Amino acid sequence: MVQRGGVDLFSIKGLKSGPTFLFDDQAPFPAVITAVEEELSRANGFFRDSPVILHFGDRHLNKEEWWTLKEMLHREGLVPRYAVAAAAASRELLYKEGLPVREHLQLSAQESKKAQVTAAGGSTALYLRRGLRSGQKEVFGGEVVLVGDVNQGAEILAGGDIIVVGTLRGVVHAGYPDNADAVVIALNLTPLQLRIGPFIARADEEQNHRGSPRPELARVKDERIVVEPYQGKL
Amino acid sequence: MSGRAIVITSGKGGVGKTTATANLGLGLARHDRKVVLIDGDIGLRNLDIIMGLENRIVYHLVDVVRGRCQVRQALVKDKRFPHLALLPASQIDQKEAISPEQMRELAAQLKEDFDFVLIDCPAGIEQGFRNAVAGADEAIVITTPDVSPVRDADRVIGLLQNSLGDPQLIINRMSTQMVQRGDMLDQQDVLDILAVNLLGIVPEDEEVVVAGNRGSPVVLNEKSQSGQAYGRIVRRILGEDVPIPELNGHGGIFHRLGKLFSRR
Ligand SMILES: Nc1ncnc2c1ncn2[C@@H]1O[C@H](COP(=O)(O)OP(=O)(O)O)[C@@H](O)[C@H]1O
Ligand SMILES: [Mg+2]
Repeated sequence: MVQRGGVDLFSIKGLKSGPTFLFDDQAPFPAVITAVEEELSRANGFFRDSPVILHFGDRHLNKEEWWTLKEMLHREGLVPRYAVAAAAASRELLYKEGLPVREHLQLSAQESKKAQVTAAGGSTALYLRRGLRSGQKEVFGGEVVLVGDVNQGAEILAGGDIIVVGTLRGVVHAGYPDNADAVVIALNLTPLQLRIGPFIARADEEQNHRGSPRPELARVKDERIVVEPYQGKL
Repeated sequence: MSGRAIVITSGKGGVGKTTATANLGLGLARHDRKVVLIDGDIGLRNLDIIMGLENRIVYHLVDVVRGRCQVRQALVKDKRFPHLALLPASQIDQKEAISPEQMRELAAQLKEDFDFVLIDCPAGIEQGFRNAVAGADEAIVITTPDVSPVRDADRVIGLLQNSLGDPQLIINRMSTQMVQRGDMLDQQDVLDILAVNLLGIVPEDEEVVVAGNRGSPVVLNEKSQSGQAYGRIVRRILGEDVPIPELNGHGGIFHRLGKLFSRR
């Protein structure tokens, strides 16, 4: 992560109001842009199509800088919802450019400390009425519900829970990036690898269990991922 | 006339695309259909060898596309069936020597004269694959019952579904012994994963290799198991309802795969 004197030039916070992009307001703007690019490439399309809040702090943004940023956000498929800017000149510019602006964003003390990204859009879910084949990938900030199989070589990355009404053979990451409360449920849970928040579990090749498939639930307990029969409740 | 253009593809190399193209071509010709086989594997041609026609090649696919000859000049007539022809690949060019658009035009032109245009696809999912698929109306995906070819087949099916819709599946080199030992996926494993319509199963059979070397594909040999399997597949392509003999074991290799974590 690119920093200026211990401060991140760019960070993303998952707040109640939605994912919020915090831009450092002191560093030269090109450096900030570079940091944004880096961070977004790491997020790997995670925020695509999510409405985001842009927080400029005290920066005096000029038109050229705004256009550079706007184009980049557009390339990444990001839709600015509104901007927060303390500097009146920046607010005026953004307002003229057609973006709703606010002077403050209320951050709770706790929120301003934790740079955690929670599910974009809170409890929204992506419903897919088809399976995923090898090489296909779904990335979504909220929960993902998929009716079909997720095959080996396919991937799901979700900010929240992942529910597969079918056989799960591919790699899924629920609670991306660090929500360990997320769960994975599948009618037949046989992935080679499964991730929940910061935890990873791999298939144990020694175990020999087939029998008839039954719905199972994977969750984090005591710092590791465990799988248990799904009994109709979390 | 407007024939059916079918691409035979797999993702993975060496699973039997070229062998299948030759056998299906000869099988369809034996049912009196007019058939042309296009070797889409530019740079690595070998359909001509399997067909036993390598010494008759004058022009090739790239010559046709570049306008260096007429299509009919490049078609190599089969020595067994006069209504079966091969359009060979070039051995020296690259896959990029032709474009999907050119392939589409060529296939459209051939469909006017033939009942079936079978396109032998190269391995991979790059330009050669895109060219071969561009010429086709339907696809047959071929896989062996092994984990890695099945995954590649799955990838290819996903790509095909965007353009040609659901392909039909051939499972090649099925070995009953290996399935029974649990060393191979069984038919049901493969179908569970790929979830497409099964066109047929071809057993593991060394006659296929011998026949390939002799330039006389197994479908011509009524006594061989694999020849008979190809014969049945051909009849299914022609719309006959021919049952598929089961080659299931007692649960394939998935016994040992994908079992995970600490279960409570
Ligand atoms: N059913 C079969 N039994 C045994 N060998 C086979 C069978 N099908 C194909 N082969 C052999 O596998 C090899 C690869 O086949 P080929 O048709 O060239 O594959 P591809 O075109 O997909 O690369 C060849 O040596 C062929 O003879
Ligand atoms: Mg081949």
